[in-house]
Amino acid sequence: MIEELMRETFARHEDLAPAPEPVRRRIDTVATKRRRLRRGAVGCTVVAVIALVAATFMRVDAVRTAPQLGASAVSTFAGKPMTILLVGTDRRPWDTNRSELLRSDSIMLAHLPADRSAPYVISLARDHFVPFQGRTDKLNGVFAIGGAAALRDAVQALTGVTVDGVVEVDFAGLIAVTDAVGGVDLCVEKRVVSRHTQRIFDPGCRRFSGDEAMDYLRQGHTTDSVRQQHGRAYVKALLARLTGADLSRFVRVLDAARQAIRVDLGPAGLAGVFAVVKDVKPDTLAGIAPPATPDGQLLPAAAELWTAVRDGTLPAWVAANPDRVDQR
Amino acid sequence: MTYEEFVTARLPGLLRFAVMLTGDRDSAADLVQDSMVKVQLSWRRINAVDQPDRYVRRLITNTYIDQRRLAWWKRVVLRAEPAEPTPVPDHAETTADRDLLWAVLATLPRQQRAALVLRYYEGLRDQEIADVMRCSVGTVRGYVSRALATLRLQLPDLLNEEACR
Repeated sequence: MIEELMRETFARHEDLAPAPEPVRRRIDTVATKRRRLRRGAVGCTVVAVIALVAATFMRVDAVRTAPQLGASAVSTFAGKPMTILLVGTDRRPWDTNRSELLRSDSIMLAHLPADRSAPYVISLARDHFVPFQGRTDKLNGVFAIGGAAALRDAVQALTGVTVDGVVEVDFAGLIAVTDAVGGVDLCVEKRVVSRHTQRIFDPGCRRFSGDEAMDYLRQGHTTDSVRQQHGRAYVKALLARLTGADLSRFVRVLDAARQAIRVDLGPAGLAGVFAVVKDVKPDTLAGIAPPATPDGQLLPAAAELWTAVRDGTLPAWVAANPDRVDQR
Repeated sequence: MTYEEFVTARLPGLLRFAVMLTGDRDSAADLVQDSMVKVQLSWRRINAVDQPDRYVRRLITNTYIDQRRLAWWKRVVLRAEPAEPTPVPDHAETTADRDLLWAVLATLPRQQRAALVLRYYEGLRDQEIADVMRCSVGTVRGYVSRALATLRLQLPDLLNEEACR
């Protein structure tokens, strides 16, 4: 009797069952996402392994003759300049579902001349107008619509400089990398109050945590040029924390960065870039602000800068334009 | 059998099964979704099993039972407290009584409810239930008899009424 009653009760509640179609769609969506995630994880692992190998070789390099991978990687850039496009995007780690386009807040060229005399970091105004898809658009508009590849093409067309790779970092990546190297040392020239967190950055030099660095770099003030200068200072500070880093720290940095950094370094790969970057001396790094109007349009005089980059005569350009170069 | 064929043929039945376990529509949908995502991701392996359907039911059952073991921050309340039996007009009394049974089912421990569903809704034999719940036949019988005892205790009026008919 109670058994009968139970069968009946179960049967009567069958129509409480959810409709299959929506559930089926959700299953497919979640499964697809998870599959992508898995694939992404595999991709990241590959990058991490390459980086590990590269980092190992860099240590081994010092004592032995360059092993195979190191050798092939070095040969890619041996006797040649290397230029990497750095893109800082405004994707926020706490804000995953934004429908807006991703904007590139900070665009820089990291350049190492063929003679390896000194590294250069050159800001590109995100508001500079360039021809794009039959009209003109700001550099960050090119990135928002066409992504890193379109931005790379636009920058190559603008400067005539061959871009060997693109590194894209979002806010989360910035925080992760900064914390992974144990913070970066930055000098504040003028007091800055964060528009986002009301944090106060008093003048002076000190170590910035990932959160602080991100907050500081976001502050634009009245013009973009101050933000650009902060960006260049950050790259220099990061490089300073990376050179002489040991293997474990390198791995930690990459591990921290892999979710928030997109790297496209072409045939050279990470190993090639590391092999070149390891000899860089951060003290010699020169940050350059190309001649531009206050609203971020490059002036015709900038053409001389690009010529100097292409011809390997940057030291002469720097000497002739001290006001465009950050204090070392 | 392809995954697509399996879903088309079995999803409605699996959803009905899940709703018998959880007692409410949304939790049933979540439960089936979680299990079927796993099934889709490893369909080739699952399809190699003799009875994918039985396998999936086992997955759903154990996911349902295990939910209670999750950490507090992951815990999802799948089972509403039994609703207070609301006063109902006379002509609907029988239905209301039976919904009382449905409400009391929600107070049972999950293993007990699962055993009842597998036996009285799915019509499985005790050996098969033991197989699905990964326990011994004796344990299954223990779950069922304890569940029935609770129901008898909670619903004396309902059962007496039934008996008097």
